[in-house]
Amino acid sequence: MDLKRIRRVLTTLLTGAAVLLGITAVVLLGRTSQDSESFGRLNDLLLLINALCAFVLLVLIMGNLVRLVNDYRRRVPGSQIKARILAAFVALTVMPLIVVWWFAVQFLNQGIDNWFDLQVEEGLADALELSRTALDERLQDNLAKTDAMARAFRRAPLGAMVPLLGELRRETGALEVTIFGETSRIIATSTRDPSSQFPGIPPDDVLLRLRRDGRYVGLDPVIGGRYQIRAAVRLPRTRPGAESLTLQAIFPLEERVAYLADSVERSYTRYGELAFLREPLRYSFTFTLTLIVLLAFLAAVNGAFFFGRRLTAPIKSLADGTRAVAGGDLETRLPSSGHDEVGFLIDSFNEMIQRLAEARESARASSQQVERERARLAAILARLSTGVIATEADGSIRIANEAASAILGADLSGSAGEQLDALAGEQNMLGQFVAALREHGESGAAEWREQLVLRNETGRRVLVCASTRLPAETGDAAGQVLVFDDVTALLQAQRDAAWGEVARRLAHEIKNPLTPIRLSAERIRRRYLGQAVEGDAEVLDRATHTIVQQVEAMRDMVNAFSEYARAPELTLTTVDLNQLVREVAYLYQTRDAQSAISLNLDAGLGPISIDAVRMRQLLHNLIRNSLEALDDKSGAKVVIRTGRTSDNQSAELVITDNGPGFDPDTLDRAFEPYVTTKTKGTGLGLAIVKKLVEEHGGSVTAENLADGGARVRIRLPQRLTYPDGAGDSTDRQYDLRRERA
Amino acid sequence: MQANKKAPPATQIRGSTRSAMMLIGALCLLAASAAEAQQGRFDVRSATTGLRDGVYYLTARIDYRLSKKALEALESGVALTIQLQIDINRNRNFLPDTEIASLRQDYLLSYQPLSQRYVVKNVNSGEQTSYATLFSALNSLGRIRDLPVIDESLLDRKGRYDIRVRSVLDQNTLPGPLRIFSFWGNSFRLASEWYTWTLRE
Repeated sequence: MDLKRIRRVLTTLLTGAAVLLGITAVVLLGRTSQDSESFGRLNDLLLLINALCAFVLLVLIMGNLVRLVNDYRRRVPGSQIKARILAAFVALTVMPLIVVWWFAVQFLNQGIDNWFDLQVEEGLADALELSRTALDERLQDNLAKTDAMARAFRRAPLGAMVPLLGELRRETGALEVTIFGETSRIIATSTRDPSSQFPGIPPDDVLLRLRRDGRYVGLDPVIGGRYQIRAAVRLPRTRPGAESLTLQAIFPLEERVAYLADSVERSYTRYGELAFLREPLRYSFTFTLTLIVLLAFLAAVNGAFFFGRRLTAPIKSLADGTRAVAGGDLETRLPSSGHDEVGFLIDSFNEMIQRLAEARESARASSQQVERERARLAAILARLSTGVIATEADGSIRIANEAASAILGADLSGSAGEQLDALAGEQNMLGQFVAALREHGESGAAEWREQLVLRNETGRRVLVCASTRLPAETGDAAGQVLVFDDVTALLQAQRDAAWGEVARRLAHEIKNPLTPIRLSAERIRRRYLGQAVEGDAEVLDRATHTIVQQVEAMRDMVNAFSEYARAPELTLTTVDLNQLVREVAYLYQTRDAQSAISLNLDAGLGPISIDAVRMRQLLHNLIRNSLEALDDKSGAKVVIRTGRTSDNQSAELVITDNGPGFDPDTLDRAFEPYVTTKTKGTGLGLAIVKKLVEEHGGSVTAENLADGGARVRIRLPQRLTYPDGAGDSTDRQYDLRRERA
Repeated sequence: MQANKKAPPATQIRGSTRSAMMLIGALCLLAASAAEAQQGRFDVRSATTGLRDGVYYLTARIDYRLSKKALEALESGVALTIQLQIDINRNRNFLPDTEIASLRQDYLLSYQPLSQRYVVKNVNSGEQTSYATLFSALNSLGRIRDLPVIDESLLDRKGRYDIRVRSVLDQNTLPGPLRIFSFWGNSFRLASEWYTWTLRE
């Protein structure tokens, strides 16, 4: 339980206790106002309790008021409503309380005044006077009796005084007859009550009257509220200098007279007391009423604070909750405040927050799912050999995979958001690609598929491209997704395969008839040359010679095709490529001294694992191709260079000549059979070179130099390097066969 | 011609001032006595104790003057209870005094309109006496003669004891409305000062 809750509970308990105690004290005060005894006993305590209650309530009110003012200034949610509730409560409470208090006071005052009536007062005074008059006769009568007793004593001898005293008491009906000396000394007494040991000594004022008047009679109050008559006369001195004696007789009042006198006096006294207490009574009632009203007012104000707090607590709670939700805290739950409208509002708020939290959680899950899908798509796209570019409606790149960059020869990674046109400006192939896209974009086709031929310095690239417009997320404009694949190699492979098939068929279909044709031609020559006439013999000789010669030419051609179509297994050995190059180049340097074949060999290349025989053939073809292209040109120069590629993963063999170069129109097909501009050769030299390189898992490219000449660059994978030359050759052969397949 | 206004002689000034001061003093005394008459006063004039037959007896003289309101209440039929309070304390060196005996003697003073007499009743003993005048009644109340206070055997022989006495108008016995009324005023708040003396060295 937090401190705030403890304070609230304590305040509520204190308020309740104060109100309950105050009400109890006020009720007791009201009741005890009518009961002198209990009022006297409890008055101080009740006043103290009431004052304490009022003080406690006042302190609570002040505390609440200070808090309310602070909250109002700080514009705490609910404080304004609380202030209005308080004002309404106070206004609704104060006016009725003042009215009730005013009328109650007036009513009480009038009621108290109505208790007293002048006629009643006068009547009581008259009754008292009448009683006095009636009693006065009895007083005089009893005084006369006392006088008679005094005269009887005067005549009686001193010794007979005591018996006479009893006799006179009985005769006169007195209760007690006593003779006092001076200083109230009892000389003789006679009493009706034997238990009474001492006669009633006359008080000083009676003695004073006796000394002054010689006789006294009066009513004497006795215990129990009744009266008796005291009569006394002074006895004459029996002799000069003798002690002065006083005879006192106590007479009873008749029962009826005593009762009536007592009743009259009691009524008179009671009325007089009430008349005297009229003002204090008014004061008491007004004070009690004021105290009740004050406590009621303070309790009402406290109640106003209490109910205001109860009513505004849910509002404050709602405000806090809303603020928390606005701050992103959807875990907030407000405590329910019952089944009323506010409770319904809070329950609805909680339900709304619950739904918001669920929606956010769902959105988060969806976002994570989308992110996962995006990552998966990115991974898929990254691993695709097909280039994929997604663009926005404005032509900016949304996503482009690595294959797209590789195919287009442009780094598109990290170019998301950039305009494809802007990137295309500096990229040759990308520019051609974008130009082709633009043509389709202008046509407005939603979907299209086309084979694009792009050219770069290394030749032509054939792309199969398809585009589909993406579904629009908002508005009419939408981006598109471009899927393209570099089918250059595929087309080349298909072409190679076709040429391979042609070569194989040529080798098979043409080579076989060549021998019978030659043999037949030679038989015809041997049989009929000698028998023919001179003119015919010459024709026959020339014709058979031509047939044999052309058959040989065709055999050479077929052999070349056979060589091209042949796919023997490689026999990999560790060969020093530089040494191999030197050996082959030496043959040509010796044979054609005019050809200037220079070598630029990297001494650090090291041995590599290749098929030496086929590599030697490859070098022959390349050198021969260059020399044939130079065609005894003066200043001809062939440079053979070996080395490593920049990534140090492959060995590189480059042959450069300063000949006329490749025909730009057929540069991209330079390695296809019969694509040649030379008059010499079979037209299969470079095709065989390419085939041999691919058998070794390498690549070959041809290009024209800017200042004239051509360059053929061969890259052989470093992974074929086997320093020990043993162990993995079988695996290598298998790999190469698989690549060819 | 210039008229010279002579200043009064100094002796004349002093004489006037003295007269004025005497007048003011007399008025103050008159007002004080009137206020005292309005307020009433209880005063213990004298009090002594005497040891007789092993018992200490109190003899005291107390002057009672009722306030106007109290007198009015009495004559209207309200009975007043006057309480004589007697405390005996033992003095202890370096320690607080301890009360070893406390005696409360209540007297009920009332007025009988029929007989027009004032009755003084000893509430403790039930004995009552009536008087023709209030003066006689209060005079009788104020004379305490041989009131037994404490038995000597209850006191330590080596102890030193003080006794004190005072008289108060008991407000607790007043009628309820009068109690609230007297709560805020002094008319019924009548009490003498404590009169203290040594009971035994």
